[in-house]
Amino acid sequence: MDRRVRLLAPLLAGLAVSAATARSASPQAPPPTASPAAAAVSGSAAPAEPDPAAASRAAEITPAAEITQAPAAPAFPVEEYRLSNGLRVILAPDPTLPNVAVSVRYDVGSRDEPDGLSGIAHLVEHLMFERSRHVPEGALLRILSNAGASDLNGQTTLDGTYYYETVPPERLELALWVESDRMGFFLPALDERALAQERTVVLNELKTRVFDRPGGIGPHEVYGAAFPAWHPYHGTAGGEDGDLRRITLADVRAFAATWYGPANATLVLAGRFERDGAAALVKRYFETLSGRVPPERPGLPALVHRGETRVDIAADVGMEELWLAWVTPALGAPGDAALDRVAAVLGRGDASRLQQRIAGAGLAKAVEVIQASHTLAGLFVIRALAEHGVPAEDLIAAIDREILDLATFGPTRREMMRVQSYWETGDMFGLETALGRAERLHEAARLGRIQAPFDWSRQATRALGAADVRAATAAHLAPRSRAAVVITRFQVGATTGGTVVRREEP
Amino acid sequence: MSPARRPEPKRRCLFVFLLAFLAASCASGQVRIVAPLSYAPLPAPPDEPFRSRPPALGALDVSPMFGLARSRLANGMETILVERHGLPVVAMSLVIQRGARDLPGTRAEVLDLAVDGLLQEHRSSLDAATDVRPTAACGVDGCLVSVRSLSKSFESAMKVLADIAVRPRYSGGQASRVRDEWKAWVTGRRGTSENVVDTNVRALLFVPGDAEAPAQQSAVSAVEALTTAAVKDLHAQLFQPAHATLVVAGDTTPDALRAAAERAFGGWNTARAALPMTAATPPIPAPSARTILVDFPGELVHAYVAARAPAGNEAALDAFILIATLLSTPKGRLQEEVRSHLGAAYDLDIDVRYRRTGSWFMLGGAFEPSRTLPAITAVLQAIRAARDEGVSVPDLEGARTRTIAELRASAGTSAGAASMVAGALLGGAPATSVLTRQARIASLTSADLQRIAQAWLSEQMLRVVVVGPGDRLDQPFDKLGLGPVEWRGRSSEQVPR
Repeated sequence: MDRRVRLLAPLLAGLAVSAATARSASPQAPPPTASPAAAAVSGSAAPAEPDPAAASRAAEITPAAEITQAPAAPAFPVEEYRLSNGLRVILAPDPTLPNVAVSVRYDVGSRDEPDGLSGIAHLVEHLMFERSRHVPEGALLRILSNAGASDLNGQTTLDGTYYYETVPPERLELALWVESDRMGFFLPALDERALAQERTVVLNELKTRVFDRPGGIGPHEVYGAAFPAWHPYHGTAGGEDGDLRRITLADVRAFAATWYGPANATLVLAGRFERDGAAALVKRYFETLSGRVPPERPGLPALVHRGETRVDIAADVGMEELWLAWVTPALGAPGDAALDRVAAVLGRGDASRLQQRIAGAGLAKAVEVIQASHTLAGLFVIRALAEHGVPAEDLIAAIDREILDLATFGPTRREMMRVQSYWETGDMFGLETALGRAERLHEAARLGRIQAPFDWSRQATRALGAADVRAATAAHLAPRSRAAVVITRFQVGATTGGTVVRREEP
Repeated sequence: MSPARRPEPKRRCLFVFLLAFLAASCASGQVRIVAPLSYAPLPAPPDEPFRSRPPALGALDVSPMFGLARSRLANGMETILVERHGLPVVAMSLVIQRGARDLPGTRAEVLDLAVDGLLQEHRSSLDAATDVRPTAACGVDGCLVSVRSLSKSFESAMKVLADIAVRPRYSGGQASRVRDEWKAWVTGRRGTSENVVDTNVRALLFVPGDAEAPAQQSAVSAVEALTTAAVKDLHAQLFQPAHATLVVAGDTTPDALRAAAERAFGGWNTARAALPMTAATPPIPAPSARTILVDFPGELVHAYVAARAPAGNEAALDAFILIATLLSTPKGRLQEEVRSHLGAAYDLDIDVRYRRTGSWFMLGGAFEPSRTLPAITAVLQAIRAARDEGVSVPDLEGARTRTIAELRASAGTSAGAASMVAGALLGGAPATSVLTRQARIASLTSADLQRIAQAWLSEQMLRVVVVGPGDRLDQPFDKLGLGPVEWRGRSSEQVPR
């Protein structure tokens, strides 16, 4: 009811976005045997010391098929087609919802930013809210908002850029008018003044969300530590201050013209609308828009584990933070779905292992675990806020013990039930809103599962067993392949704000 | 960046693939491997006439968003159902319409922690009901314990509510845990700019000792003396059937709800007399200064205008909501001024705390230090314009539409519908008030809004709190028109400057 210190804000930038896309499924690789698994996670060939309690938990392991009966998958009509200019359209009408979500995803994100232009994807996202040929300067948000739009926003992630709004059904045409103008007529209206103005706003956002917020620097440092400098995921969507200041109008025009055409976009309508009328409006407003076919992205070399990477930072933070991160399989790749379950077993809910044995044992104020699934690679992240006086090494050792236990003995039947139930509940509540459905449809489209967008997750989850969870832990969460970022309190510079004052990297 | 500076990614990748041992050196390079940009101009698409102006808008539907089925158990507890069957989900809230303000001398935060402690005590039952997700909180007006679940777990979810209301389990360490957490919470409040703002705003809007005023040393002493018996007594005073309403929204029927509620709550009785519900409006203090500066480290300066607001059961609240909506409209005049023209902040933040007796609000943000004074001046000017000049018809129409649409969006989810009904009850309004809120808002006029602004946003009612690094606050904040400026500490204590 009242504002109160809630220990963890949502993970920022790439991580927060990834939370929405952290459901995925794919056929799983055959699990390795327990012994190599334990060795992989323990980081040594020596056999792990068995924990009797864990052994007893292992005995509870039950095949997924025995887990409780799933609720029926909701049946909503979903239709997908392409316009002649390449725009992918997905329609999901449902008259029981009070409104309709209009959501456009451009397949471009910070991973597509050339060297020296970090932050340009986010900057373009902002500029596309400013004006287009038929929408006067600064009017886009006001027009939609005053017409009753809610959930009105844009978001730039590592892989994609989203524009979305939820509107009353009577205002669907207005939303399509706005989105089509943004898609087709943004560039003719772009000028130096708009760039200068929005550059200031973006720099302010960076300050507010990263440097003026306890823990705000964490995601940036984690992605920087986990991925090498040549990798498109090195850094986060916010960009670097210096790069943002150097971006020119020509750069913005080139970036937008390269990536923001209809052939690189997906338009989703979900919620209360009449199918034929909506399809006619989509055709009217979008079919004549033109744009460049996006370039083929270059292949990347394989990521080579460089051993454990450790970054120590001293900053003016309220609590000491530990971030552990492993590069993991990409969205939808074998292992991704199982790692979602690993994250849930370890950190989701009061009954999860790290909540009980790390937070509950007084080592950390809070723990958060996520498998952030991205197009090129995933990142499995554990974030812990240390209790006062608890050294980071103790926290790391305690987390390592839990990971080793999971890699050796797997989850219990009760844990699998809890995780399964957690997923199903989240799925179902997510479908209550038009925007939640639109997000799910975008995700299904990315995974090529648009024919069964609302039940694939559940089916795939049920196909996963405890052995898959154990194997994924063993295969992907070894200490030797992780990045560790430790943010300690900077005592002397208590008046310097959230500035990073020391950084050490081996 | 010129095209000539672009990397040649494919060649680089092939090289790396062929010579694996060089991969590490590639990885240590500084050039990102991405697709090249095209700097060639792009022709604009055809400019059809229908694009030149936005399509015409029809009127929004303001009919009631749902119906309420009400019932009462034998022990006096009321149940309210918003029935819908689109998805197999249920959200429910147990509303306790008594809070810290009804228990003189009690801190809202202590109640909050005590109820939160109950959740922890019931962890084992939560673990069994694996898809049930509870939250619990108490405040000045009451307590709210909420769960949502799949409809197949309806009874398990209700049992969680009943365990907390009817079968509180307090272990021996509960009181000490509440005490320690409360003290940590007080300490934590000193740790972020947002909380320092919040503390100082409360100090300017509520008299010392009020349930919503910042904690005083005497309150700390009282909490230090807290015992398990005292925590139990707090629970027993608040959690009574006569204070409680069970609000359910989602995939169930009135009969199923009544049967489940009787099983879960039917045996809940108490010998205690119901607490009277405090109706008196908490007094507004007359501080020695209405503009407060607080020295606090950070990159930005957090500055807010704050004032008290109509109570949750007053007709004036609807108009006040529209004023707040208007001031916070994305790309509205104020947002544009602060965000784009002044370049002072990423965003403006409005926070309205609806209360049964003493609502309040604050409007401001995290500003670039050198632009804080013009930004907070712009906020004050916008408030003064709404009060002295009134609201234009287009602005009013926009705010009305936005508010109505947001109500409809909230009502679209089971948790949103349950929350709307619960919120009305906590605010001291009848549950049925949510059914007519859209129509009430649609009927408000510019004159209504100006009258409410004049009553609640007069110069004497306005307060300003500025929190930031001391050397960046050396600006003439006394020019804001609210009189002299005073320096305070993080807990709003007097400090010399």
